[in-house]
Amino acid sequence: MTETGVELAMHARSLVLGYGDSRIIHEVTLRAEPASITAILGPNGSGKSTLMKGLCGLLPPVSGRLELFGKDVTGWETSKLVRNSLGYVPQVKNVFSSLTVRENLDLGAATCRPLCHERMERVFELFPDLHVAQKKTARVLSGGQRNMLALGRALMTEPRLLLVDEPTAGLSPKYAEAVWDHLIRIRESGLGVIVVEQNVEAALENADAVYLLVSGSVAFEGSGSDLASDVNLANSFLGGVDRKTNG
Amino acid sequence: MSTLTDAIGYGLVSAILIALSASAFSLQYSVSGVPNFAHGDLLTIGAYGALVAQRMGLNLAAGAAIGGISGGIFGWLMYRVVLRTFVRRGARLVFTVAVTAGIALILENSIGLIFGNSNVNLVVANQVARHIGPFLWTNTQLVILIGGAVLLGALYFILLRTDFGRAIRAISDNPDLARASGVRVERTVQMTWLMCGALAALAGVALAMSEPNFGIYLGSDFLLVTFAAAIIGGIGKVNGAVIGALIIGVVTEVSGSYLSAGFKQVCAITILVIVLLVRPNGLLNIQRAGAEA
Repeated sequence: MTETGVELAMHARSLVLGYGDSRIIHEVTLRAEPASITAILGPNGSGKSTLMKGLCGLLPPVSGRLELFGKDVTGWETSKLVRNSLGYVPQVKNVFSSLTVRENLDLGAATCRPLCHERMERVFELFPDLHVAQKKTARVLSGGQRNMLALGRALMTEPRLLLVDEPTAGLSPKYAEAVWDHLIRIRESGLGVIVVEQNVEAALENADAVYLLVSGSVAFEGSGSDLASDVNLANSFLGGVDRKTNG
Repeated sequence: MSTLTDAIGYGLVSAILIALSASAFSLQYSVSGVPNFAHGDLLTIGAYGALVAQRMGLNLAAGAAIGGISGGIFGWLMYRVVLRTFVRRGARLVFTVAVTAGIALILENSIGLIFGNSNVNLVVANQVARHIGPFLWTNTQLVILIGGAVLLGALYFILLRTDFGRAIRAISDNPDLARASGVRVERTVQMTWLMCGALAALAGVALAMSEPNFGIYLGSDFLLVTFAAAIIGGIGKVNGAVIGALIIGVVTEVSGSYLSAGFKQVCAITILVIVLLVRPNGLLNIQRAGAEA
């Protein structure tokens, strides 16, 4: 629960993650509220993507606890989490390149038959480009279109919380802005969003809460404006708020 | 001229057998990353399943069904009991090759122990040859051609039009993303091994029908042309397996009729090497293996 009594979308408690014997994430506690954007920032190698994998069930935690809308989901597999209101958009390989746009969306709909048609219409409303390109193989889409498809595919599972890993990486400023516009619209529709972002400026401007991850631990937790005003932290770990880190 | 058209006709029959076997091999590989060297034994199990049914007094159609079910069960067990552990551990290819080759030996020797090492045969209807267009086919060959085409059509339908088929294609494209789309990956992989085991076993029944007699190495002798067709087409692609099977089936039969039957396998390997020299990932593969219809 939040301080205002609202049920948290996700609550990671003292999460420890790693590969084999090495530990990448050290006792991270993270709280994400519904209908809000929580951004995870940090320099290269800080463990952002590892944390994301832990939150979406691709990497089982070494220790700690993960709650999704108040339910203990520690150790759950990704497909089970997805069937319980979690959506996940990886940074790379985030669409099925050998399948058509429509088949990509259909796959997400497998979790929600027979309501898939209605959901697909909503995704097409949000991303009209996908409607036009629905018979195209995802392989031939531009980088921006692929990211739209990745978001659309995740929304087809009708999540209440969406995890998005570096959605603007490699995109032109125009497409990056469009992605953030979509994330804001997704938040407005009532979904919680946790986003790992390399575009610090956009994250600080649009996120409701920000976590700064340094060497696998939380170095800052608060609002974007608080982090932006902490000149030492911003300069030390993010290269200043008016510049972009490399993820 | 008639030698050539007859050879092409036989080649088409071989092609449909190879296409069934190669599609099954290719799909199992694309969802699990396991090159199944015991694949040939699924064909053998199908043939012996049909033989048992015939010895019990059932007809060949019922025999084929029993053979198919037996192959499906063995394919599923092979993955569920043994191979799944290696896949989950991310075992290197050399280990899965060694393990599946070991399974092949165990299965062949077990079949030999149960049925003996002498050759056996399936009882088929009296052979009547008839011309259809330029080709001369026996009634058994026609049954194989039509039955094989129906099975391949059903496989296409499953892959293109069902949730199960889309899940197979998604897993072979990107297993982690399939999980993130809510696909039950483990269950789908197991069902794929079951379906492909049945498909391979039905290919084995058809292969046994086309041979005067067969033994415990029926399927393993067929492994080379299966691999060649799957790899030539681009592993993971059912389209590719069918194209590869057509090339291998027709060319080996034609070369066999002009040179000698012993040259069939040499031709298959020669085609394989030439294609891979020109297209290292096979004819249809653009990037990594991903099951496509």
